[in-house]
Order: sequence, then structure tokens, then C-alpha cells
Amino acid sequence: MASRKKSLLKVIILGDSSVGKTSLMNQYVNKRFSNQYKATIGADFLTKEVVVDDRVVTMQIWDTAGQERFQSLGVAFYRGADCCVLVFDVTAPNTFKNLDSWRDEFLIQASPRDPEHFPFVVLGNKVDLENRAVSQKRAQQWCQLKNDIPYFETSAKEGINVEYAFQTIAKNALAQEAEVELYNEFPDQIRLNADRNNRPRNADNCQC
Amino acid sequence: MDEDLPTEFDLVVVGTGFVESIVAAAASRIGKTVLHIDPNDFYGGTWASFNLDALQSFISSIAESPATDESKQFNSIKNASQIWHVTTPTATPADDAIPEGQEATEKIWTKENVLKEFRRFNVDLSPKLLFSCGKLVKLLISSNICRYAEFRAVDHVCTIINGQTRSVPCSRTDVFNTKDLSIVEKRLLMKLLTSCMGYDEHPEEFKDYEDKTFLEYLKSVKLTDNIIHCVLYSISMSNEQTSLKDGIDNTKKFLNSLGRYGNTPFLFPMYGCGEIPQCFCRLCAVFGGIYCLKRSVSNVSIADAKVDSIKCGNQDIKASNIVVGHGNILPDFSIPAGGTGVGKKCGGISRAIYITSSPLGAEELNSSGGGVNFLKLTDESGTGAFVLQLSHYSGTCPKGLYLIHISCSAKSNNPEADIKPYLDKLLTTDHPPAILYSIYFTIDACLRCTSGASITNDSLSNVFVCCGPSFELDYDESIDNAEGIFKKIYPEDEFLPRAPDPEEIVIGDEDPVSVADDVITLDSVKEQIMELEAGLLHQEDCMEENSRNEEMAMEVGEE
Repeated sequence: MASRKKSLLKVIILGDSSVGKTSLMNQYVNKRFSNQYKATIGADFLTKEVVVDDRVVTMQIWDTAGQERFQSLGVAFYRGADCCVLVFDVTAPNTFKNLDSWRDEFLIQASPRDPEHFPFVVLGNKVDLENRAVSQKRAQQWCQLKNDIPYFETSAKEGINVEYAFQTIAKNALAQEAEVELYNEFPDQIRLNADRNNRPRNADNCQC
Repeated sequence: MDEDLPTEFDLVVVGTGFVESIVAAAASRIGKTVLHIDPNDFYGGTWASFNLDALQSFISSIAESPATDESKQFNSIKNASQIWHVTTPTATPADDAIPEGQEATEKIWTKENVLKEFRRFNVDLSPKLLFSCGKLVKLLISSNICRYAEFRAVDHVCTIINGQTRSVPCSRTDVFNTKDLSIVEKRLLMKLLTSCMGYDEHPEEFKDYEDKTFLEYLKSVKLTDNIIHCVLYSISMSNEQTSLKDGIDNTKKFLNSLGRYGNTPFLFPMYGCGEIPQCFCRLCAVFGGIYCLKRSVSNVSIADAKVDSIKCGNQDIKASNIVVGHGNILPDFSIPAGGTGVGKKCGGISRAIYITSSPLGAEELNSSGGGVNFLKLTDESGTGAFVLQLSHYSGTCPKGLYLIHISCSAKSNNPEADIKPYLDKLLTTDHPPAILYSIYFTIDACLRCTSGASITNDSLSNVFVCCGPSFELDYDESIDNAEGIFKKIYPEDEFLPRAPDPEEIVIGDEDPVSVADDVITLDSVKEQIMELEAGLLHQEDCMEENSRNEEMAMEVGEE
């Protein structure tokens, strides 16, 4: 059977609408930024290969696809997440307050094996803007209270700290694996878009 | 936090069941504006999966609501009951008595410690299996929605012969390796399966049996009772009355799905079938569809035999077309316009769900804790029952526990009585499951099927009703239902064309021209590679078969 160690990390990005979730992943993966989209259209998930401690892993970053707008993210979105990125807008205090409920929602829906030590990362986005309303100190305090969640101040627009933050995300997701010897909870999973592992192993049906 | 919805949509979909979700995704995919709402706080409606806590509340809420409650929602699920067969332990000497390290092997399950793991359950109201080459798998791949789901190959197709639960040899290697059949039987079986596959090319072989039953044909080719049993009941999932043509078609369907993934022709969605509607919803959302759970339609305004707008919360929302799901009904009219109008009635399913602390069948059917096992049971008169046993590897129950789903067509308003003959068959086998908890309910037909599909000219021409789950193993009828509705609304448009991969959707306004060029080139290269691979694959497979045979021989040899 294939290695039980994970080589694919599923990272989900949560947070209120228009805090910059899509922009952050787009900046990180495609090095692009656009002011043009309001609600999320066409954003799905993006993948990027990252090297963490000499190990190559594929990071798959999942966007909410706008389903968070009316609090209607289904449980399917949360399945098998290895890391959860909580994003707020440093110019919008409400988006910071809502981090609590996003974190709770994640823990309920994803119900990770070890909720206490599940890797979260918090990103305070839009630090390029002038009208800042949530101080770095306040954000850091909240993160400390929640089991020392790493905190980064980012600007998806200017590309500030984005690379570094996601590198940490990958690292923490993998560290979690090492710490509790996490292996694939469900081996032998099949994805239908047939990569090599999913190839038919026999051809009983073959008429030749 | 509640912002307002836009006030005009091409399509409003009420209910997030399987059929509704496909229509929503298909409309959004071709650029229509879609609002998708559901009065429930969960996705899936009659197609949902619940954790154990939510399941218990759901069943209680139905059991307590009056049977003829047609006030707001049409009850798509009725006759619900649940019972625990284990109670709180009076004393737990066993806990102390078990030496350290042995706990995992012999855990004693009480109601409390089952409930403690409630989040590990994903219990399907409407469990299904997918044929590996069936309609849903094809649709998921062709629409590229497959990227949102993961599956487990069904581990064993089982049958009960003389009170023993046995694995039906599915693949050619299985047939050659099984110890249950003699060499002569194996040859006969292979010959039969080969001639079934060649039915279309050589119809003359079956000429004498054209108007006879499949069973009569099977008897004529001198098969032993064991093989007839396996082929008739398990492989073709037929019964004594099934015609030759149907029996052969079913057999071909089974064989055609073999060898693609795993050892049997079937796949089960990880975390339960309730994931599938959500996959379609996600695609709808990715293409701009707006999602709102916990919202229902409180009023509709009608003009020119059409629904002009709906009242949702305190907003009036204009909708060109409305699709209404199983279990949802719009206020102000009782019989909405039709869906596709063909096919048999949906619903009419008696359901049982058991949580058990031991699996059905012997160890070799449930190696390393068991996977997903499927069993088709027959009865003398009817269509029989589908039995699905799920272990923790399916992501639907905690380790050490099993979910057993039974579905049969409803003969009465007493699902327990309908299921009983089938349950008895399981309980009288050599390795019966130990049941901790059971649930029974009936899945009703949708409103349109119930009302006899009397679609008149005065019904509302822009409202379409989706069917609920049909009594079928896979999703074929439901997909037809969804595609039919889509084609009625958008006759000119393609139904769920392939969605681009995420990498192909480039968000951003920089240099769009060169990006687009890139994508096109990549796409055609990808296509070429895929074609190449498909060719290679076939060669590889033939070469691999020998090594595969050896592997199988080892597994069987361990018995």
C-alpha cells in the first residue's frame, strides 16, 4: 500500500466575507492580486508544492467559495483538514470578533482527533490600508489565549508576509503529524480523477 | 451579520437534496444566477447524513410530529421510530477486569460510550452505492465535480447461502481463487459471464430463452445451485421472475464496472452519501451560486400561471424559474408543475439502520475491522432489499462499531415489519451482527409522484418538482430526473460540461491574454496525455494481471 504518511496537506481558509481569503491564496499561489471581484466567484482550491524540512508536500488550499456569506458552509467542506487558517480584516473589528465563532465552528464540524493541538494560524489581513482598527497587540492576545495560535499580519495586495505565513502553515500542519504520529485515518481512499495510484489494478473485464 | 440577498435570480432552488443540487450546479455552471436555499440547517434533505446526535433528534422530531402535518413542509420521512437495545450498565466490573492493552480488542459498548462518539457517525438517510462505471461516476468525472469527493471501493459483495454469509467472487481472479467453487464450476461460471458480455454480438446463443426468465436460462446451462444463486441474486441482483434480457443487462452492468477501482464493481462515498449533494452545491457556489440554509419561502406571488416572485425572509425575490425539492413545498399551491414525468415513482422505501458492535459474517469478510460490504437479499414476491454494512474505514462510524443499512420497497406503513424478514435472514446466519441501536422509517414519494403526476395546463409553468430517492442502488433515475428538469428549463444548454480545474481559473486582471493562451495549450496537452495514458493503461493492466493473480492467491491462501 502507499505510504501512510501524508504528502497532501488540506488547508482550509475561514473568516468573514471580504476579509481577503481568496486574495491571500491567490497571492500565495499565483502571485496575483485583483480588486475586481467582490464575492468569491470561481475560487475553488489551489495547490502548491512546498518544501518543508527537505520534504516536498503538496498543499491544497480550499476557499469557502462564498458559502460562508450566509453561514451556509456544509460539513463536507471541513472534511480531512490538516490546518485551518483564520482570516480577519484589520480594518473591520467585527471580522476579528467573529474569529471565535469561526474557530468553534471548525472544531465542531471538522471534529479533529486532538482539538487542543489542532494547528490553526491567524492572519490579520489588509495591513496596507490606512484605517486600521484592530491592533496587533489585541490580535496577538487573542491568539495567545487560544493555545498560542501563530499570528501573522499580511497584505494580500502588497504580498506582505503571505509567503512566510503559508510556509508556517505547511510546517505546522506537518509538525502536528510528527507529534501525534498522525497517519491517514482512512487509507485506500479513491479519488475519481484517476491519478496513478487509482489506476485499475486488474483487467478482468478485458476482452483481449 | 445578516446581509440582504440580491433580489433577482434566473433560478431559485428550494431544498438541497441530490436532484435539486445537481440542477442548481448545472444552471450555475452555464452562467445562470442561482439562489439555493433550504429550510433546514443542514444540506441534503432526504439525502442527508447525520451524526448520531443529530440523527436521534431528527428521528424524534418526526416521530413526534403529527402524521398529517402538511402545514409548512411535506413530510418526506414518516413512520419513524428508534430504540436502544443496550442500556446503561448496572455495574462495570469488566472495565477494571480487562488488563491494560487489551481494551481495544474487547470494548464493551454501552449507550453512553456509543453516544460519546456521536461525531464519528455519518448516518445516511438514503445510502447508495455507485457502480464504478455507472452514471454518477461518469457525471462526476465529466463535470469535474469528482475533485470534491473521495470514495472507498466496496470490499465484498456478499450473499447468504445456507445460513452462511459468503463473499461472491466478482472478478476473474476472484473466481479462479475461490475455494467455494470446483474447477468445473469455475469454468462454467466464466463461460456464462463471457457469453453474457457477448449478448449483443451473439444473440443467437440466447434465442431459445428470449421470452423466458433469466433463472430458466441459468438452469439450462447446467450451472450448480451455488453459482445460480450468486449470479442470479448477487451479480445480476435479479429474482426468479426477472426476464432473460433484464438479467443479462444487469449482469453486464455489474461486469462492466469491475476492475476499475478495488475488487468489486462498487464505490461508496467517504463520510456517507450526504457528501454528494454538497459536492454539486460547491460547484454551484464556485460558479457564483448563493447559498442560504435555514431559509424558506413564506409566500409566492403568481402572475400568468407563473410564479413571479417569492418571499424569503422579508425580501421579495424575483425568479425566472423555481425548482422545489423533495420534502419542500411552496405555499399557496398544492400541486406544482411536473418534473420530467417519466420513470417510476420515487420514494416508497422502508428503511432500517442498525448500529452493531460486531459485523455480519466471518473474519475474512471483515479483515482488519472491515470495510464496506454489500449484500442483496431477495424475497419470493418483491424486489428484495439492499443491505450495506459500513465500518469506520468508510468514515461513517467509530472504530469497533458498524452501521448496517437495509432498504426495501415499502409494503406497509410499518417499516419495521417490512424489514423484518430481511433482518431475520441476517440474524440467523453463522455470524449474526450484535445490534445496539435500531431506527426505522419510511421515505415517502415526492409530492408529484404521490399526486399521480397529474400535470395540468393550469399549473405553474416555471415551477419544477424534484423527486426524492428512488428504490435503486445507484443514482441513475435521480440523475435522469435532474437532467430532465435542467433540459426543460434550459433546452439549448449543455448539462454540466467539464468545469475547469482550479489552476485553469485564473483570478486577477494582469495580462489576461497570455494567461488564456497558456491555459488552452495546457489543456490540449493534458488531453493528449490522457489519451496516451488510457492506451498504456490497458496494456499495463493486461501485464499486471499475473502479478495480481499471485497476490490474490496469497490472500485466499491465508484462510
